[in-house]
Amino acid sequence: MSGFFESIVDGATSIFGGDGIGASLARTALAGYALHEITNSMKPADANKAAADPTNAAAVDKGVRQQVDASTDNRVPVVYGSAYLGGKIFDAYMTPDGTTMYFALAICEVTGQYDVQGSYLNKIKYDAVYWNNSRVVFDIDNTTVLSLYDESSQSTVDLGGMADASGGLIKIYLYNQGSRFSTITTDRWSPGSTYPSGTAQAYNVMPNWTTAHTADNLVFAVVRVVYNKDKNVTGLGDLKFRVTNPMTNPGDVIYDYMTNTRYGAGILPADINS
Amino acid sequence: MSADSITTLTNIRSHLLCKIYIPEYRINAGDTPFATNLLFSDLNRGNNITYDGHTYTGLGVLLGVTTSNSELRPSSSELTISISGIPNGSLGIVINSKLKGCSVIIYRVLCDGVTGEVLSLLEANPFARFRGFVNNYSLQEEYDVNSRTSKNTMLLICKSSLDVLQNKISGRLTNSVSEKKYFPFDLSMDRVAALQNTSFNFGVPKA
Repeated sequence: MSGFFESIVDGATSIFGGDGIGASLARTALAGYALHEITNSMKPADANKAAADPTNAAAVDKGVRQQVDASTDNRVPVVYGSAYLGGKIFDAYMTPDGTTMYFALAICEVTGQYDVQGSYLNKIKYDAVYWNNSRVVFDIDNTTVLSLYDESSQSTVDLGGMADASGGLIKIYLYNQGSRFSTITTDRWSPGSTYPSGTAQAYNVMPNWTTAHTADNLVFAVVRVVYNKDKNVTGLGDLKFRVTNPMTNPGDVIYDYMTNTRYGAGILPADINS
Repeated sequence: MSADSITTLTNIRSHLLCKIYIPEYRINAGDTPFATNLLFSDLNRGNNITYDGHTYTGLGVLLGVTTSNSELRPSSSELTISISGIPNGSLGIVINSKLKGCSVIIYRVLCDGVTGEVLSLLEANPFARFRGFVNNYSLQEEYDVNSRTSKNTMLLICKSSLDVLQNKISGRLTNSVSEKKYFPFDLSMDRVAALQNTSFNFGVPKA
C-alpha cells in the first residue's frame, strides 16, 4: 500500500513540477483555489451573516410583478337582497418606494333607497369580507385586517404569520355610497344602534385621488396592501364581499328596476300604474 | 241601456281605439312643450267615440294597426300603427314632438253590428288589447304627380312593456366614458384604460 501512495505523490510532484501544458494548467488551478480561500477568509463576518439570514428580505427579495386586472368592459352589478361579489378593479396606485399598493374595487351599484311608499330603507351593508376564501376579522379601527377566519373549519387561518402579526399590512376601507360615505362591516355593529359609518373618505385614502374622485352612487372598497414576503403578503388576494341591499320587497325591487335610468329600464314613473 | 251578455248578441263588430300619451308635444320647433293625448279610432270619419273621458276621433281606413298576440303569460310583442293622409303642414308636429318612448294603449271596442252603437256589456267594453311604448317611428311620403301634392304616412312601431323591460339599459361600465355619461365630473374611472394590462413591480426596492 505504501508503494501506491508514494507513486501518487510522486505523480503529483511530476505533474506540478513538469514543463508541459498539463503541469501549467494544474498550477493555475491550484493558484485559483488558493486565491478563493484567501478572499473568503478576508470577507467581513457581517456580510456572511446577512446572506445567511432569511429574514433580511431586502437583501434577496426581488419583489413580485403585480398584474392589475382592470378592464374597461367590466360591468357594475346590481344587487337586491344579499350576494357575494368580487370587486372589479377600477384604480390602482403604487407608492414611489414600491412597498405599498392601493386598489379601488367597484362592487355594485347604489340602488334606490326608498320603497314605493316613499319610506327610507337604508344603504347597502357589508356583511363580511373574504380574503382568499377566509373571512376577514378586522381590528378595532375597522379597516386593518387583524386575522383571517376559516368558516368551514371554524379556525383562525395563519398564512405565513400574516394573520397573527399583520402589523397593518392589509387595510380594507369600505364605501357604500360614493367616496364620501365610508362604512364598516355589520359584524362590527351593534344592532339597534345607528348604522355605522367609517371615518376616512376614499379620496383621503387613495394617494392619487382628489375630491373630484367622487365615485358617485358606487359601492366600492379601497384595499391597501404593504408588501411583506415573510408574512406572505405580496399582492391583492382573492377578495369577496357579502353585501346586503335592504330593498328586498319584490314590488319595490321591480319598481326600482323599472324606473332607474342608470341600470334599469328607465321607464318614467308617470308611466307606471303603481 | 241595460247590460247585455256578449253571448246573446248575433251581430257585432269591433273597432280599435288608440291612445298615445305624448309628454312633450310641440306644434312648432321652439314652442314650449306640453303633454297631450293623441286619440283616434278606426271608426268612420265623424263617428267619434268617448271613453274614459276622452274623445277618440274616427280616422276610418286612414288608421291601420297590425296584429298582435294575446297570450296567457306576459310575452314580448310588437305592432305598428300607421296613420295615413297627414298633410305636409302637419309634419312639423311629428318631427318636433318627442314620440319615442310615448306610452301607447290600444283598446278594442265592440259595437252593435247594425246601429254601430257601443255595446253595454256585462264584460268590460272597451277593453285593452295592447299596452306598450313607441319604440320608433318613420314617415313615408306618397307623392301625387298629377296634383303635385303629397300626403304622408306615419308609422309608429310599438313594443310591449315586456319588451321595454327586456331592453334594459346596459348599466355602468368601469371606464371613464361610461362613468362620465352618468356623472360628468367624476374622475374615479379615468385611469382604467391606462391600467389595463399594466403590471407593477410590487416590492422591488427602489434605488
